[in-house]
Amino acid sequence: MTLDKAKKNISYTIEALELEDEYLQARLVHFGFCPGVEVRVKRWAPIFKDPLLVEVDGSQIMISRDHAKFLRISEVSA
Amino acid sequence: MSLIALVGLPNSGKSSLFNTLTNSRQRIANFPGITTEKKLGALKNTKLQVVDLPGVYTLDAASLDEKVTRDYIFDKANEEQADLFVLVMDATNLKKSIYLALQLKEIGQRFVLALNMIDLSNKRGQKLDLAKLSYHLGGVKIFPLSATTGEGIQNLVDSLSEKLEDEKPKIDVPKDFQTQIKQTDYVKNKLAEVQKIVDDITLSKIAPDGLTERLDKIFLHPWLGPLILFFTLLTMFQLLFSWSDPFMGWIEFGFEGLGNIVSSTLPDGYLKSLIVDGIIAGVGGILVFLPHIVFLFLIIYFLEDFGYLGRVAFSLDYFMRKMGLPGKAVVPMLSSHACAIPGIMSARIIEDHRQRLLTMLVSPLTTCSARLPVYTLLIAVMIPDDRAFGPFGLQALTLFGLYSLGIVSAFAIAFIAKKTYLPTSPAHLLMELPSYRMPNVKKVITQALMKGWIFVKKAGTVIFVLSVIIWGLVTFPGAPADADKPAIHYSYAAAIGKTFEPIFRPLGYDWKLTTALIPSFAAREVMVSAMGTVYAVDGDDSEEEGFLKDLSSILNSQYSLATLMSLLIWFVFAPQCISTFAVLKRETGGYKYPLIFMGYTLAMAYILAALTYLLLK
Repeated sequence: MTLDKAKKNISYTIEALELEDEYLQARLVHFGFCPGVEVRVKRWAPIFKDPLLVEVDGSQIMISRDHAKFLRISEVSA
Repeated sequence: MSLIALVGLPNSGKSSLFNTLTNSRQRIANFPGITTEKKLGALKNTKLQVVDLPGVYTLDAASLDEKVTRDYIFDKANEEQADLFVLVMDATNLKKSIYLALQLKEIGQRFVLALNMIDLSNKRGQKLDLAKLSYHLGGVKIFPLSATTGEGIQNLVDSLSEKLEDEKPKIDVPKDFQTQIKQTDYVKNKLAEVQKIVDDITLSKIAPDGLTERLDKIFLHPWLGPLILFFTLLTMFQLLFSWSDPFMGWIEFGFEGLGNIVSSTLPDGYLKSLIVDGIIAGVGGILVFLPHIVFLFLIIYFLEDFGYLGRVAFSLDYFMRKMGLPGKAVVPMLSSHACAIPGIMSARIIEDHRQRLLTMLVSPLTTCSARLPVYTLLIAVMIPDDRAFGPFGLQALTLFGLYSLGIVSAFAIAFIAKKTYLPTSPAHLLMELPSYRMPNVKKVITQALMKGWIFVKKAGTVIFVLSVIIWGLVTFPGAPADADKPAIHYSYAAAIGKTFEPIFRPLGYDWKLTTALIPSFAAREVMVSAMGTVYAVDGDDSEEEGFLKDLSSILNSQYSLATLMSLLIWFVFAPQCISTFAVLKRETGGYKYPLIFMGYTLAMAYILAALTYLLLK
């Protein structure tokens, strides 16, 4: 599953970043979207549910849905 | 002369620290990317120069403002080299700052650490081992401080003055550093290193930001959020009117008194006419709007400092992207509501060249504060002030409508340009959402008053000169002996106005309005003072009830609703500001885009104003 399909307020682990663009990949990693990191979608913007507000590593990151599609995630088993 | 450079993440408080260190009053907001140009100042009571650089997360500069900072850090800035860097670190958000610190250490740049917002960090129960942090960063000095409360600042100032005695070591930037730091592996390794450092130095973890959590539950609520945004803006315009009214009355009263005194002491003649009809009607007519300007900025800065801007960006991002504008464009678009000049300059935070161009070409369409006097006057003429819907007066609603029209047309033009002339690559948003902060009331008030002062200075200089010129044009050469109309009909201004009148006739303007309109191409607000002078010299010796009321009743009696509405629409779109043109030329590096901007806005203003006139006639 990818981050754009994530449910609200559930913790997921990032499995992989699936994109070709090296620069964008580095930017995403830089904002904390790194394999192994736990993420949680806190809310979506009104109406179109885009962008997403994601808690990564203690900070609140706004990320557009198109970018969230690049992030493969899996649910953290409780 | 020694130079100290402030670097740090966007929104880490560099500008606040800069202001405290240099006693200056630079503009600050609780939003990343407000500082887009370096700013210089002298350190309090010393000869040391301090430069405030735009915020960066990392050294692989993607946008123009980031390049400024990178060049400084690499000692490659054209002007000068910094002898020492102060890395400003937000203590409540350590990781990304430590990342940047590691990069500085890597290239061997000399720096000290200003651990800012230490008050908030303490409040949230965070305890750090600063000795260890210093060790990890290569033995740097660390100064815990708070730029807002002033706590710990003196330690930094004292130390800065001593440290600079010794020679600065040469830095060593590896050849492929720029490409290397973009590699995913590099970033991953560095982040792992950061994590280790954070784990090692943290004695007691920071508590989650409960306030931000709670407030975002309301302000970013799926339907309550947009509703609150809407009513916040409505309330803002209502407050603008109700707060400004009494102050406006006092200023008017003052100028009226002044006019009466001059009238009764000076003999009739050119001098009296110059002072009463030229200067008092012109400059006073514009100064009346000082309260509006101050309150507008007071409200904007308050919301900004509080952190609401980030929420607006989050909520509007989807629409902006559909229009071809990147999420970051929210900064220039909102700044342009104060003035298009800082708005256009803040477009530098946008990396993509075309998206930046597009943003610069449309953000001046949003309602800048120079339009406010014209809008207020025309609204006062057309809209009765006793009509209201609930708590919101019809006048405030109309003003809200005009501001909305500005935003909507900026979006619409961006969309059309994207589809035709300036196809942009899809825009995205990847940005940190700042926490809410208690607005610093003193700072907000000072900044708003500063804007007010700039407005007063402009009234005393540019508008003063233009008023005198306009007065000259409407007064001379004077009426011939056998004149059967008021003297103004025989003036140079009338000649000019009548020459251009045919151009503006389809819009419903007579030669008098045209006369006032022409000088307002230099600066919009001149329209109000120009009308003041034209109608004052026109010599309608009706009851003096105060400048605005007089002008309102003249406009009301001489012009139809169609003409006034058309004038309002003209002012929404027309490119009447020389400075905007100049700054567009500078920022785009040529005449092409400023001319395109002039062309399309002029065409829109003309066509839409003419249509308005036709429809309402």
